[in-house]
This record gives sequence, structure tokens and C-alpha cells, in this order.
Amino acid sequence: MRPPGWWRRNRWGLIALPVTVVAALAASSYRVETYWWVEKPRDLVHAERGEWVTFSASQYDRTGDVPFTVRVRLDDVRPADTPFGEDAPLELPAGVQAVAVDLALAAAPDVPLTSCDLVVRDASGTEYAYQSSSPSISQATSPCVPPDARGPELDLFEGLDPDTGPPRPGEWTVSPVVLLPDGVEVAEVLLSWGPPDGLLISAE
Amino acid sequence: MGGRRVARPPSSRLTGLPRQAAFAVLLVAALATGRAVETLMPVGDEVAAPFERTGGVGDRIEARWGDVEVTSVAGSTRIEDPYGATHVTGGVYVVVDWTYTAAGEPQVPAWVAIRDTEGRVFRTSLERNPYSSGGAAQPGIPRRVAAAIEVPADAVAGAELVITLEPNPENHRRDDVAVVDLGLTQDDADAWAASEEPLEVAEPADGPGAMS
Amino acid sequence: MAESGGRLRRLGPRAPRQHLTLAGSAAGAVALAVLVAGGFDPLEKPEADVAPLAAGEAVDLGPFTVTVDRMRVVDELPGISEGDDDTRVLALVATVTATGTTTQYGAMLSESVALEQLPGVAGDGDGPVPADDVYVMADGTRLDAVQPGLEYEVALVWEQDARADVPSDARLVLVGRTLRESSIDRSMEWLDPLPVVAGVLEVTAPAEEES
Repeated sequence: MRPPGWWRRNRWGLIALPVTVVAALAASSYRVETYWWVEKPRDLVHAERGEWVTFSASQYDRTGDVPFTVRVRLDDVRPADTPFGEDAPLELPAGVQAVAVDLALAAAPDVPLTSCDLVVRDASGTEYAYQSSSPSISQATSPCVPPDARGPELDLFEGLDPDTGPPRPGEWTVSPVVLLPDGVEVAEVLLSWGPPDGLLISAE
Repeated sequence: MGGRRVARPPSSRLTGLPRQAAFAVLLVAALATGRAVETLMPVGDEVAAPFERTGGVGDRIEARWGDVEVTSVAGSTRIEDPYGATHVTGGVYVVVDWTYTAAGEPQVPAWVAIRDTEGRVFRTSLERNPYSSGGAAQPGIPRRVAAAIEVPADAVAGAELVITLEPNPENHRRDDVAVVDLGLTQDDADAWAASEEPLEVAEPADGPGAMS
Repeated sequence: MAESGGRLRRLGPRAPRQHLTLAGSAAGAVALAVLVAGGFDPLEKPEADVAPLAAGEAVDLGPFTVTVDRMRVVDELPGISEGDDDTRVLALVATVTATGTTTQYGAMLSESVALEQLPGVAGDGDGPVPADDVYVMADGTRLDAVQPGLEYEVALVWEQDARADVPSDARLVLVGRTLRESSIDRSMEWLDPLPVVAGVLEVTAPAEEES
């Protein structure tokens, strides 16, 4: 009687091999989330300029997940005269232009929407971010809410009432200003209340 | 005795004691080999080394995250920081002005240091070695920044300015690092170590500036 | 050959004994594997010998060399106690150099020099109180980074409640650290703070200085 062959002797190991490979990949797969998925807005809702779009996502704070729904319409991307929420005219260095992103938003007044990021992209995908303070501009901290009626904040700190300011209206407009080099055309506007969710609006 | 030995099938030898001992020895040998390969081979440092993009004063050095151009280098024993405080050093303050232009998305070069010919690294800090990036710079808009770093006078000749994004040096592995030869000599060191003229450290500003 | 093979085969069928050997070899493999991997880090480092403090004598703390000079009471120090009647400042004048080849940050320096509990000096818990801050004597600005190859004359300061008595002396504890690989991310770090030198230093009051 011949002794069993190599394949036969190792059949359980061979069957287990693909399973262990999959398990090893699965065990290290958290890196895909940590280093890529939640690094930037990846799960995008697409919209066109001039149309209302409903965007639902979730933020989190001390109380846990805070789901929200907001309706957004991009009206215009135009040259800006003043920073967002300021009266003083813009003073720009040579070679720099300022664009105002005119947005209309609507949401229930009790929804915290202050912590949002606004990014504009050119046709090649280069990103320019809304900055509330930089050497060349100083403007409202949040690009998504009226600076004088921000509505509630996320409940992030114990002992700090998240809803103290004047209430936010049901529908409002904002005009956050983004600085770009001269000659750059804005192709898309990206709004996010925390990755991976985002709202990508074509500015064409 | 002999009869029993003959009666046993040959394959049962595989389940005997040497099998277990051999397994243990092999396991330890495999771990020891892995450990030895890891420590003996120079892979750790070599494979994880950052990519140094080198140039001199006035050169536009391109890195993954943008480009860097040193516009001026000066030195003294005194500086005046952007908040008006005067710092006095027993060595030399090296004050470097440069322009940084981000690529792709807004970015902050958070690691700035002087490296001397011995390999010593002198980093910026908040107060004593002032450097302010002004926050993330928008791509394509040049950001003019300055850093003042105190070093011993013997570190000046041949010193390089090292700039990259990640503030933790552990994270420089396999990333681009801009290395600028500041073109300094012992004469610069001697002159600066004797100078009591306070040098102003400029605040960050956008735009090409008057230099170019 | 045949003889030794036979002995091993005879051992084979004795099941309990075999399990014992199997468990033994597994335990041995684990112990060897741990040794090969570099062993466990001991949880508690042995208590180092604490040498007596001597003014003017350089002490190697690992990341820094510190030479303690004198201790005095300061009424005003820019930035921390200016025009403040509620607190006074105890300042330890010392000379500091960084031993390594990279910048050491000031927080580690202030943590390396501690004052044994004194009335009016606030600290966490019962242990010695680390310095609040470090200032460069030459210009009165905060030392937040110690560059290698430079010698700094510094004032390490503690705030004391002005209602408490001015101490005539204070006991200082200098804390040393060891450069070793962090077991968390394998980077080389200055870890394991342990007292290296301790002793009593006379405190000079401002009034005495004027006379």
C-alpha cells in the first residue's frame, strides 16, 4: 500500500489556507477605513447647480450619533467683495482671487449644522478649502450657517449648553469665501459634515 | 520485545515524541530566523527612509506635497519674534525665510529643522525657536514663512534646512522631505556669533512678495 | 541506530506521559519564543540608588545634564506672577544641556526637576511637584525647547501661595530617564522616570538679598 501523497496529507491545511488568507486580510482591513475611507468625504451625493438636493448623514457627539437632514441648493460661484460675515473689504495679495459660494440651505432649527467643511475643486481635482482665518482672510468660522444665527452646536463639552445663541431660521443663505490662485475655475463644490459622507455639487 | 517492534506499523513513528520535539524546535527556529533576519538585515532603515529632495538657496525644490524655495538666510545672537519678545542665545540664531506652495490640497509643513554636518537635528518650537506656518496653505498660492532656530556656532557651517509635513519624525518614512543646503561657512558662524543685531522673524504671509 | 529507535518507539504508546511531554515542549516553545522575541518588559524597574544633591555638580538625567546652582524667592517674573500679590515664585537657578543629537522639549525638562511637597505649592497627589515652567535667564523668555550642544542658564519655577511662609530650605528631586524602544510603537523614547538625585537646598528670600 502506498503512503498517502503530499496533497492528501496536507488537504486540511490546503483547505484552511484560503480561509486564513481571507481572515488575515479581514483582520488588517480596518486600515482601509482608518487611513482612507474616513480620511476624506468618499461617499458622495451628487447634485447640480440651481437645484435643491436633500442630504442626510450623521455626526456624533457626547450623546452618540446625531443624524440630520439638510436641503442644499448651490446658486452661484462668483467673485467675492467681502469675507463671509465681515463688512471690511477683502485685501488680497497679488495673484490671488476670492470666490464667494452662494448656497441656500434648509433644515429644522434644532439640528446642529455648524461643524461643516466646504471645499471647492477645479477641473483637475485640486482642492481649495474654506478657511476662517489665514494670513490673507478672516471670516466666519462655519461656512454653512448664518454667522449671527448659527443654531445649536454639537454637544461636545460637558457643562456647556450647546444651544444658546439666536435660533436659526428654517431656510437661509450663506456666501462663504474661498481663496484661489488667479486663473483657477471652480468646477465643483464639496460640502461635508464629517467624512465619509459628502455632498458634491457641480458648479458648471 | 522484538516481536512488538515488528508488529507496529512504520507510520506510527510520525506520532512519536521526536515529532513533538521537532515541532517545538522548528517553531522556535522559525521565530529566531525571523528575528535574526529582521535585526541583521538593514531593511528597517533603508526601506523606510524618507525621500530627500535636495537643493540650494534660491532653488525651487519639488516634493510630493508642494514646493519649497529658500529666499534668504541670516544669523545673529538675538531675534525678535512676531510677538515682540527678544530672545538671546549663547550660540547662534539662524533665521531662514522661504516660500512654500502646496500641491493638490491645502497642506501644512509642520516639521522644520536645521540639520548640521554631524547629523544633529535642531527643531523649531513655539516660542524659543519661532516658526509659524499660518495654517494650511491653499494650493498654488505661495506662502512666505520664516523660522529662527538656535544652534551652537559649530553647527552653522554646512547646515541644511529640512522641511516636511508630518510633525512626528516616525511618520517621515517613505515620504518626501525637502532638504535645502543653506550654503553656510565657518565665516558666517563667526560673524553671526559676534552679532548683537536683533533679527526680526517675519509673520506668515500669502503671495509672491517683493522678492520675486 | 536500531536500538535508539526502538527506545523511542517504546515511549510512544504511553499516552499520559506523552501528553505531559507534549505540554512541556509547548511550554518550552512558548518560553523560548518569548525569549527570542526579546522577553517581556519588566513592569517595575528596580529602585535606582538616589544620590545626594550637591550644588554645582552636574547630574546626568538621561536626556539632559542639569547642574543645580541656587534657589531663591522671586517676587516678579515676566509672564507668570507680575504684580500678583497672591503668589510668589520659587526659582531654581540651574545650568542645562541636552545630551542627545536632537531637540528636547521643555516639558520634559520641567518634569525632570521636582520639589518635595511644601506648604502653598500645589501639586497632584503626594509626590514631588514638577516645575511649572522653565525660563532662560539671559532674556527671561520661556525655554520650550533645549537644542543639543548649547548650555542654558535657566530658572525652573514653582508658584507658591503668598499666604504660606517663605521656606528656608526645600528638598529637590531630580528625575532621570532611560532611552529605550517604546513597547507601543517601537520608537526610541526617553522613558521610565526615576529619581536620580535628591537633597535639600537653601532658599534665599528677597529681603535677605537686598541687605
